[in-house]
Amino acid sequence: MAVAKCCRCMLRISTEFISKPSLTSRSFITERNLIPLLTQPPKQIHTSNLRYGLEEFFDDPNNFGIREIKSGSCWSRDLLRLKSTEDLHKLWFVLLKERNMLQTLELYCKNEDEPMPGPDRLEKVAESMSNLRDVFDERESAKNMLLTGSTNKTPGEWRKSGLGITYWYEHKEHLLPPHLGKKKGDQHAEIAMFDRRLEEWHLRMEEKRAKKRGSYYYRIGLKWGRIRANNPNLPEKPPKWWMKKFKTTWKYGIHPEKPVLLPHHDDRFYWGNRPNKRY
Amino acid sequence: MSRIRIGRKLPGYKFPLHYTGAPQRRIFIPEWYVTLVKPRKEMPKNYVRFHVPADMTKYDMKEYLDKVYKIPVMSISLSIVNYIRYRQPTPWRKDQYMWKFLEPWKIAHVYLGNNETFEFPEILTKIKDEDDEEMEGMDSKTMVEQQEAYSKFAEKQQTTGTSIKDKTYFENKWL
Repeated sequence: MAVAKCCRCMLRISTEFISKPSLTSRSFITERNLIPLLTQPPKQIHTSNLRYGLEEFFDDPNNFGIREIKSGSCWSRDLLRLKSTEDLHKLWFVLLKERNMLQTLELYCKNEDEPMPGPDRLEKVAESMSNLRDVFDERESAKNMLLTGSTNKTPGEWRKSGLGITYWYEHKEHLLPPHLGKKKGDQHAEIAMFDRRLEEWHLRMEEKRAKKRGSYYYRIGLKWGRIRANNPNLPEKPPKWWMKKFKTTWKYGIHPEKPVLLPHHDDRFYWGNRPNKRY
Repeated sequence: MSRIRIGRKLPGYKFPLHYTGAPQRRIFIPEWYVTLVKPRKEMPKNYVRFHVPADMTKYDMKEYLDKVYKIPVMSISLSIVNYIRYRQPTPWRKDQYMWKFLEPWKIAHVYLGNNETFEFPEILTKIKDEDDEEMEGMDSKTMVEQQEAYSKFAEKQQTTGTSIKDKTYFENKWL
């Protein structure tokens, strides 16, 4: 019975009889965009036995007192991808009830200081639930890709902050659009001047970067001068292919020709150089 | 990162803004796991106690019981169990200990409606069957008696049916 019961929720799912979904049902708001684009035909009649009420928080009474309970494997993503979204939705609740039952059993056994029969069932249920969520995410992102062109659940855009950092901004809800928004009246002088100060700051940073760039290319010109001193047939201006060799991106605010050295660290353990942490 | 949901710390569900005439707000996949708990003291017969995640309100709990389990409910009240700090000795040193935390959860005191009653069953005691009568009292017997009783039990099991060795699934040329 134990195997059959676990097989019932772990490996098999039966479908319920439902009427055809109406056109209005497509428009209800959920936090997930998973309603199928095309209507599906009605399913077969339900045949498994349901139990209502608080009995569902406990296992089959035949399983009480047994030390080792066998269980099947968890739902894999390949198996789940074969099912329709309605079947998966039902599976979620079956797994939810099983998980609640196993959690009650676990707590009870903890309080009575006894081993839980079949603790791997909880792990399997949790794994199959996470696989289910993965499959839902896949389908949702595919549907969003078809409808909007991006896999994001909520719309958004890349924005540049006042200090020049690009970040992903998710669209939020506002009463009014920005062009009909708040009208700025009289403000404190420091607040009113803030935008201009920011612009000034940006200009100063740009000047700093340009100065560094200038010094870098100046030193490259000196290098060419040294090469030309040894080979006087070379032209005055260095060729473009030679200049391209020194093209770099400015990462972390470090000059590209600056050598990066880590602080001195001795890995040896003798002569007093022991690690600082105690284990 | 949206998978991680710690009650009262990280946000759980995000819904769009409600406007007049909007359809009902629904949750497609509820990630709330509820455990039934046996209270230590004796409580009235229509009382049930649950351990509930800290995100839930009593209206959420009522809907959960109504829709997932179809239990008639008279009243629900929640009480919170706040952060519990406990000490654990470190495995690498005897003197030292680490401070650890338990995340908060809520206890739901549910009174059932429709004059329904509930008794917490004894999960870890076996329900007696016919086969178990023969194996009762095995701990008090001697080893010889245990072996005799087991051999009788084993003979009964093997009267019908063939073992796997009799069947041949494939020709074994090596043995």
